[in-house]
Amino acid sequence: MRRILIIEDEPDVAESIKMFLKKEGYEAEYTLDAMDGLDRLGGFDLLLLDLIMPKVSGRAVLKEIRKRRIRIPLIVLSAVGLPIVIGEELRRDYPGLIFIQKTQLYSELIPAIKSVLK
Amino acid sequence: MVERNREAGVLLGITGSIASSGHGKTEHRESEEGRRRQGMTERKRGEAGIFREKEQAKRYLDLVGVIVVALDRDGKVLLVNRKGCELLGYTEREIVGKDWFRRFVPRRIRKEVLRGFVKIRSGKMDGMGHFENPVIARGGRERLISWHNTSVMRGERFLYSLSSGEDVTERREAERQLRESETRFRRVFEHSPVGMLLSGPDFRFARVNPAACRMLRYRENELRKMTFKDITHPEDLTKDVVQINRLTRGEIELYKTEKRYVKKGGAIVWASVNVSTIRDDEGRLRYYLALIDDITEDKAIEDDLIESQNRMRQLLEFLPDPTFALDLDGRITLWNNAIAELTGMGAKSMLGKSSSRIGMYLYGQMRPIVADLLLHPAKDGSRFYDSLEKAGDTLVARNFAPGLKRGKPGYIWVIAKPIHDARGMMVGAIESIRDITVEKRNEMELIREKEKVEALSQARDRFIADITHELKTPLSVILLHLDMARRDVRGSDADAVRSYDMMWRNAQRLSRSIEQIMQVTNLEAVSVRQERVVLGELVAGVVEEYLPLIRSKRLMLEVGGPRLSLRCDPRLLAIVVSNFLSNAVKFTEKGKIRVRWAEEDGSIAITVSDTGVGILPQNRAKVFSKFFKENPDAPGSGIGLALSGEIARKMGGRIEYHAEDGRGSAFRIVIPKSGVTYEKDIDNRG
Repeated sequence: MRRILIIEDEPDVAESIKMFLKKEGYEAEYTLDAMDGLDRLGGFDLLLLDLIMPKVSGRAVLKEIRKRRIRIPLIVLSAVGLPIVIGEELRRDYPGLIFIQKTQLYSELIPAIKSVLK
Repeated sequence: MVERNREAGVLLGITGSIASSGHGKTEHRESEEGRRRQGMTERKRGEAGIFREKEQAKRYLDLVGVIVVALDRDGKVLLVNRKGCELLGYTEREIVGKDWFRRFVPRRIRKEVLRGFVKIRSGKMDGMGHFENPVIARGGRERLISWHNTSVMRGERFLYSLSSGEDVTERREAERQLRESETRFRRVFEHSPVGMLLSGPDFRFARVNPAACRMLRYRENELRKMTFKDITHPEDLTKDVVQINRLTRGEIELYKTEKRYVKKGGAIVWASVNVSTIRDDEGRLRYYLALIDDITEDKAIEDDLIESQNRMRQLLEFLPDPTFALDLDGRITLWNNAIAELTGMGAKSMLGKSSSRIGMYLYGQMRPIVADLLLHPAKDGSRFYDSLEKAGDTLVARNFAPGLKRGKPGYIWVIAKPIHDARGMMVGAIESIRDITVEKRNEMELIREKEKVEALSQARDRFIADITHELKTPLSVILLHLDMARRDVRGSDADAVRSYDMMWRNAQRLSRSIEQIMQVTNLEAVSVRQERVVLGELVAGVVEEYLPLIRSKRLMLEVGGPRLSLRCDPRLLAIVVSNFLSNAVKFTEKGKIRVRWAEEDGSIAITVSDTGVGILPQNRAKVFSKFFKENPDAPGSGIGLALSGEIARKMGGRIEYHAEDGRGSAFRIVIPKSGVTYEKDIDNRG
């Protein structure tokens, strides 16, 4: 069973995604605290990361992942910005990263996870 | 002449006896002998008397200032006087008895002279009494002699010819030279391009040459009735008269001027005039000679030149930019009103002064000014200026000037350029200063203003992001749960299913509306970049986004094109390609999606084609309008192509649609290789 960690500051969103993934047969956990998430990354196969978070932003988490040389597939979520613009920008530093608009999660998340965890 | 004939007549009797007694020398000896033999016969006594008479005559002959020569009928010399000997350069003995014509007459005229002698001999003197011919003296040199000839006859019989001659060589030469010089003068006078006016002491013109006539438009006979006063322009007359009077009094030898003549008909001609006097041996004034040269044209050019110089000076004088000029020594040669105003120093106190003063006034210290750097190219002036640039031979500098406007500090912009003469030699430099204190302040304000605008724009972007976040986050939760609930609702009662469908449709609609708003506002908020974009990399990045969908639909994908790069905003181009791909994936259930790019006539074309449902012909015109959807229930906001079209136009290009019903669609974006025309469009929105 592949394990997915969600770092998302909004409990409703985090809980919803967890439920959604469970229905699709994935084991998912979430944390509202980015630093906590970073420490727990070791036990997971995939990270779903929210980009806009008030305390520690998604970008800061990404930076830390790079700094710590953690190798983990990444799907970045955001409600903000044009997917093309942000996706393009993030992939410069994190090749293979997938960016999904939050409003498209219901249709794009599962295909994305499948392609990443193939 | 009469007298001479009389002298000759006296000689006649004397020499008559000489002729009969042979050579003079012999006679002389005989007479001495006769003197010794005193008391001889009566005849002999008589002969002695004749001898005395002859001696006396001979002495007389030697005294006269003319040459005297007597020839016998064969042309042999019977007698020559001392003057004749001197002239010919021989002694009497060497001359007497010689054939005159063979010995003393040049061969070239001998025949002619002989013919004259024959006439004298025959007593037919008509016209032969006086003539001139050269004789050959010792050493072969010729002397020209003017002769008076007489023949001495006894009855019908010719005894001898007697000729008195005068050496006229020098006189004739002088006469010849005079004639020549007269001819020369006449020739010069007649043909000279310079006008010549010769007038007598009464100033009436005696002779005028054709050039003068042409210049003054008068005929010679008309001018001869006039004086210089009649043809001189009234304004120039007084000055003329004063000088002519000095010339007349001999105070000056030559009078040069430029004056106006009034031509026949009243027109004015400018002339350069050169007046001199011609005096005789006693110093009496005989003529005034005026040489006049038409300089109307030169004068016009000169006037133009002076006028243009004046104009230029006035122009510089009143130029609003403070301007001055230096000569090669760095002395101030021009100081206009504006620079006087700027420095508080008038032209009077600055002209001719060294440029170092300017440095003092502008910068408050002794230092080279920009024009100095042109005069001394070796000097490095860059350390003196905030900026110093050279463009060709021109120097442009900017600097702080603490001493501007009488002590008030300011900021100046300076331009200096060398001044060249007509041959291209540098003769100085001109420098112009502009007080840019105000501009500098505005520039600083502009920068601050721009910073403010940027801050505002950032704030707006943040605001949009916040709103988007606030709207989308709850919506994403709703959508996730609706999607999860779908399976549970299936099999429930019809009302629950209808209720669910309505929720789903309206959630979708909300999502699309938010998407529309976000895409439009985001595009406008995006500040446009110009970057070098490698097309293959950009397309690959976009395609990657859609890989999961394409795979899940089991579509074939073909991506390819040459290695091309262009300058544009990669984010904007990516949005277009993404929209094309999104449509292709959405409307294709089976077959292939192709993404290709190529260069076409300096433009770049990216084509996304599919084997999907295509677009009905009646709808093709509408696909680019906002919110159009062929199938209203299909996913998406319907804004993608409209947005793409707008982006393409902003990039200076267009989007195109190629399709055949039922065989799929092909969308193309065509943009210029350097699609920069949209830059301003967006930049100025603040």
